Amino acid sequence: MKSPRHQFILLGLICQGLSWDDYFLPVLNLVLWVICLNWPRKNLRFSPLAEGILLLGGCAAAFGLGRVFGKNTHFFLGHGLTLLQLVRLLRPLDRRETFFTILIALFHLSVACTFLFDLRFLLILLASVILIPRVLTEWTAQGFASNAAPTIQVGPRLDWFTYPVLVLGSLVAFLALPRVFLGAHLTTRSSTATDSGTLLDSVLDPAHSGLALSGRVVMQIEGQDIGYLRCFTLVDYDGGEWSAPKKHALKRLDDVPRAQTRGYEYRRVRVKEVASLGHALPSDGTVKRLTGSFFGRAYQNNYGGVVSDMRWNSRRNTYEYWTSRHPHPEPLSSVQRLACTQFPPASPRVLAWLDLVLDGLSEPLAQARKLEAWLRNKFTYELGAPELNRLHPLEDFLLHQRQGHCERFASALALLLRMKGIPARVVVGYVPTCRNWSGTAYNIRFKDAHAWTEAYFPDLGWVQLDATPRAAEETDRRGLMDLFQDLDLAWSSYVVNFDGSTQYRLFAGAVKSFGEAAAWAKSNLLNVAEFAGLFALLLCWRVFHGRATVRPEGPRQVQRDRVVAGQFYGQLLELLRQRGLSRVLSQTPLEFLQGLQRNALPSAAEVELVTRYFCAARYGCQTLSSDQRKQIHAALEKLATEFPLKASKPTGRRSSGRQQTAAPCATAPAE
Amino acid sequence: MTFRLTKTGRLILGVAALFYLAALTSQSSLLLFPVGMLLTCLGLNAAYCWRSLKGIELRPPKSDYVLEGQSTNQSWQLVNHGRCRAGFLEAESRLGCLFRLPTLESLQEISLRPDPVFRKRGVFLHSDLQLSSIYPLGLVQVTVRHDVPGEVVVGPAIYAAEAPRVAGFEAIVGGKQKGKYRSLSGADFAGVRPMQSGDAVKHVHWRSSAKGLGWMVKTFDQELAGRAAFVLDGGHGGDAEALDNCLRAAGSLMVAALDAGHHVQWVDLARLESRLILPLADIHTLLEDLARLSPSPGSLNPARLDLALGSLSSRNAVHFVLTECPDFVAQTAMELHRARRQVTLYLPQGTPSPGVSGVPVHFYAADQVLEGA
Repeated sequence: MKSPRHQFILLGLICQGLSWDDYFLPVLNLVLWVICLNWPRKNLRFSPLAEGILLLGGCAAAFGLGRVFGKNTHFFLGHGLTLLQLVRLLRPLDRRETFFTILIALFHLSVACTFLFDLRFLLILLASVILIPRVLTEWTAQGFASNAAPTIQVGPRLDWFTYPVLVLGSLVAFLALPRVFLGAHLTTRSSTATDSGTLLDSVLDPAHSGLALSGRVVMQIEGQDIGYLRCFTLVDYDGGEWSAPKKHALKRLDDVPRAQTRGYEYRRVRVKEVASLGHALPSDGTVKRLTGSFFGRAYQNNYGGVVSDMRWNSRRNTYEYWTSRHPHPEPLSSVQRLACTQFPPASPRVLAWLDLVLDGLSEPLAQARKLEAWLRNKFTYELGAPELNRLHPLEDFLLHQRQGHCERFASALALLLRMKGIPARVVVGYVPTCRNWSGTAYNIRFKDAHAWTEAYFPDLGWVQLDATPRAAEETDRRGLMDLFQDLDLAWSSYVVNFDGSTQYRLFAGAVKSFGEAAAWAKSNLLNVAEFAGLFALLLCWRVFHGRATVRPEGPRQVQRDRVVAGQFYGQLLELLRQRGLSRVLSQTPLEFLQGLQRNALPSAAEVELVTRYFCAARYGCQTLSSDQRKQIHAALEKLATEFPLKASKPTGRRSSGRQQTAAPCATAPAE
Repeated sequence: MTFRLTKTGRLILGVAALFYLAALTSQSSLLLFPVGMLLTCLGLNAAYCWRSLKGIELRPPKSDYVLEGQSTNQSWQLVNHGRCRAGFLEAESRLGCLFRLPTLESLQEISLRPDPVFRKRGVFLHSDLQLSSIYPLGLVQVTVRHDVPGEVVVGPAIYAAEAPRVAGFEAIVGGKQKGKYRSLSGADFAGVRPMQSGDAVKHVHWRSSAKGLGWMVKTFDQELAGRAAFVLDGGHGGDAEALDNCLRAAGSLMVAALDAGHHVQWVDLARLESRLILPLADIHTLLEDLARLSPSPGSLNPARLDLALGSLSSRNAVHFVLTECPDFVAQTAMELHRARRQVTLYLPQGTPSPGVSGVPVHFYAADQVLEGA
């Protein structure tokens, strides 16, 4: 498991597993990897035919199971190779097979690059940056060590700057390599359903779904004074649920000439989760023109919603539109009026409550505002409120529970307005509340999904009413998850969707900037020359100073320190000899040291220090720094002062050299 | 300094190209990240290799002497003067890979012995030495040519051979041939004789003198050494392998003659310089001279042969160790034989017998001298 190759294989297995689902297969591959590596290694060897059959079996199983469980079957070959990788973990491999496993892991990594578009890819990339050079180094070292001296250890030791350089190289390649999109669009896994009913169920009341307080960014919108973004308009109410009208007229928006958009406000939307939008294209106000990159045609229905026909995931899922926040009121057709004024029979208690609230108001707009304010001020916003009475939901909401989420408020207000003869409808969409970190656009998240009410007044047209208390108290709070989501969106926008046109713009901008810089330099030649001269001086100083200070450890220095270390060691031996401890010629310095340590010499630490530095300089070609010399001096002085002289000096011939001595041996050679 | 991709490097480059093609057809261009990573690995590898080799100094011995089939005993010094660690170093010469070194730390000096067995006779200069590195990823190989002084002299292989015939025996201290006379010095005690005028006291044999027979002195077997001359044709046919076989045979015969305590004189028809090697002398010079011989086509002709024979002592037994045997060589051998000279012909195996009556003809192969016809 310590082998970088095994770790790289694991990375490949996880990448391949992610093509199946997010948790099950990656974890299963991890478990199998651990089991296979810890299984007793036997010299199993399958024939190439058996391995081929295994590979084909794995492919077929992945394809079949993928169809049964509705998983992605594009990568069945990778699953077959996964099986082969796992089987090959059970036995030692020869050199060629080892490299083949590395290639398979690279293939698995490439698989992840084709579908893993979120921030998890960064983790995969980081792991690859660390592992790929280590794997190659290990493989090369193994091949080299087979013929090399066995005493020299070979390890995959790379300098620290290898990894930043690899990251930089990857980035440069990503930015600079020319790209052309030749393939067909692939569908990605959708995170939510696309129809309006499900959107209401799972998004508007997040406490009842897996998207509770979800901060996942759906899209990003740029523009000034952005209002509520309409997705769906719900008109028909059957007593229990709201639904969009089955029949409505459509008007094309994408073929409107750009000249007709003068005076309209411009919006640009970058969509991250195309699948979560269904066929709707969220927009505020009344849209005049709308074009985009990920759908065929855009239409506006007669209820104000903008929808598209066929859509796909492109490299840049963007659309732009021109809208009017305050359009001229258009007359309501009789069909629409009829549809927007229908309501189920109301109970006397509700009617009484309505009369009580309106308190004699007769003007429709005043009635609507009074009801909106009443619901917003007297009721409570509550996610996950208890279910309403199925037979009398409105009465239950208004008179008993008096709490709920936005859908209940919008629905209740629309019904109350209809009871007063005012055409009303429920609108579902998003409320832009939170700007991104750069402040240039609004991030629209799942938790920004909202429902509100629109009421029609002949002289004003459709007026937006929001009775939900939360909408009034929305604050622009940011948390760590928001930052993460912003990063995810930036990753999606600027990396995943980095296409040829963006690349061209980038290079064009760079060339333009370079041209401007050159022009500036030409006009400020003197300043540039001064700066260049200063830089050259700095460089010269760095070079010469670097030679003087950074590289003192040349061979001559090594040789000099070798001599100096020998002199220090000679002093040490002389001191020890004066104290009755002599080294015999057959002993190495380390053996002599071990002998002293066995005899519990009082100043063994000092002796060890001097001996170690001597060995490092004499045999290890290391230099002695000034600190080390000071340490040696201190050790020798301490030895001379603290280690008492022997009472009677040995009578042997005084040694002139540091290692020649005729004194009796005080230590035995190490065994 | 040359850069080239290794086999692994070419494979990785191919993988990168495949990934790039896949990226072109992919929904997103994220595959370009691994492409960049692999390409950067190639660049990094080249930089690492360049840095590894930049500070390496190779110090081979100035001259090294080995025989064919042997590896050198002398160690080479490798010093890393650079600030960075060097690795995966491989030294190559015309002989192939000399040694491989996994790592060499900064400022480290290491001694190592080249691995290869020298199969071919000749002189190998260190000027064609190449040091390469694939450190650390094994994708790019950088090679540096090291123009260092020195050479490896590979002498011909010496195999066991019967000592050749010799002539012109003369007394010599340490000679291994026994003469029919006796002398006052030597290694083999032969007996005693009465002391004569001029005999030194140190030659007295005290034990026999004490028996009352008078002064007796010790005598020893006479020690003689013969003379053998070898004539080499210097690769007359221009075939290097034939010359190598010829020189192996000549070298083996000369060493056998020297081992038997004879003088050896030899001459190469290409250079016409006769060399005399005394018995008990070091054969190092002989082997070095043989190692430095190179094929000289056309060197075997009557005029050169006469000059070569003229440069040899007439007391020698003459041995022609040739790669070919033209007619004039046979005639010359017959003339020498008729002049009561000891003559022997050594020819390559498979050469037709020259038909010289009375002159022994032996044949040699790559690793032995065969019995004569």
